Amino acid sequence: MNDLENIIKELKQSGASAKEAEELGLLSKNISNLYRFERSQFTKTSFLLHFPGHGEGLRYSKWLILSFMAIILMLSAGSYTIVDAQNSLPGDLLYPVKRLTENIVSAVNPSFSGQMLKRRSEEIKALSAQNNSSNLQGTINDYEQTLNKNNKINLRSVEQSAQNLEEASKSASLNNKPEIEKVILQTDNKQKQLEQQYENKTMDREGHNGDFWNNGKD
Amino acid sequence: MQLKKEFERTYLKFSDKIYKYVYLNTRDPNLAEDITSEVFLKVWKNWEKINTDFIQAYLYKVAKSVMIDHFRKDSRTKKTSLEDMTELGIEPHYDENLIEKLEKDENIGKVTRALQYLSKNLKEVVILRFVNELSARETGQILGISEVNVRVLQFRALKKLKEIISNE
Repeated sequence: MNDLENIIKELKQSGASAKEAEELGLLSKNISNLYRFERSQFTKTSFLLHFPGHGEGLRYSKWLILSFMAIILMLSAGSYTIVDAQNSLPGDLLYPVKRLTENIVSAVNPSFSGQMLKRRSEEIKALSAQNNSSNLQGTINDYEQTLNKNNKINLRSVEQSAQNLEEASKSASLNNKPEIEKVILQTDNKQKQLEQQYENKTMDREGHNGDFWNNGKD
Repeated sequence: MQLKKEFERTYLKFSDKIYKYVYLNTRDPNLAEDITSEVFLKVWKNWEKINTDFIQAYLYKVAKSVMIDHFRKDSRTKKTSLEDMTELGIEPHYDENLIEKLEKDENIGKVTRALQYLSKNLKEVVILRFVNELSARETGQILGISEVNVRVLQFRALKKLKEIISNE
């Protein structure tokens, strides 16, 4: 922590007058106070809990979550595992378990919706390759809902979903192709919208070229 | 086992500072969380080889490199370690309350905007020295300059920042 008196002293040593040093010292303290925030404990714990091969210090809470998941598993899918369910497709016995676990995770972490979008696109790709028209339309509807009713989707998930849909379109039958192309168009629009938002946020407003390390001319 | 605990302690101690450093350079609170996760994922991969005596300076170095990579690469083709995480079903959790605060707080917005007018070295000195409240010595270690230089730069940075904020 920087002590105000020390900062004032340092500023004077660097050539500031007494008045200037005091003003700038106060500005520095205001900046420190303004940004003295922390991300929520949940955000940090969430990262550590899901860290690959990690979370030793959080073993207890991880165990609780696993137990909770195990109860859902027993209630919903007998001897199958949740891991198996994550690879299931619409129409499979375990598919409701997959959706249930997604709903639980997204209730806790709204940003999981990006992952849900990607999952629906993977399902469309797989169902299209199998020419499974009976389940395909419902999955396309689910995809559309996730895409349009969610504002927590990140650009990367949309890009990955777009790729999956392109592949789905290639293997689709003539009957299914128009529906898939319709969601490809919606996905492209969403992607452009997110890219624009992203660009607006990251580009310097004074027209710098994206290399934020070289902005300013001091 | 010990390594994992050390890593967790390091994450809990420094992740907010790295987040603020990235946020003030990108001005995107969601991206800042993504990049912070990616920084720690990269650091964890080399954890056994890292000299933890200089971990703070190392974290900023990795953060800088991840940000540069992020802006250089074509977003359609890049494959990041964060993407590896999402493929494993892991996505960073975004602190929505904080994001709202960052987007709505007028004073934070004013200073964050003003910082973008500073040159790279002046901006970094302000972020490290006053936002993250590091000492002149620590700031010097991270930026690879002397303490005296840090003091000279902080004087220039504050002077310029004051001018920008008063003219806004």
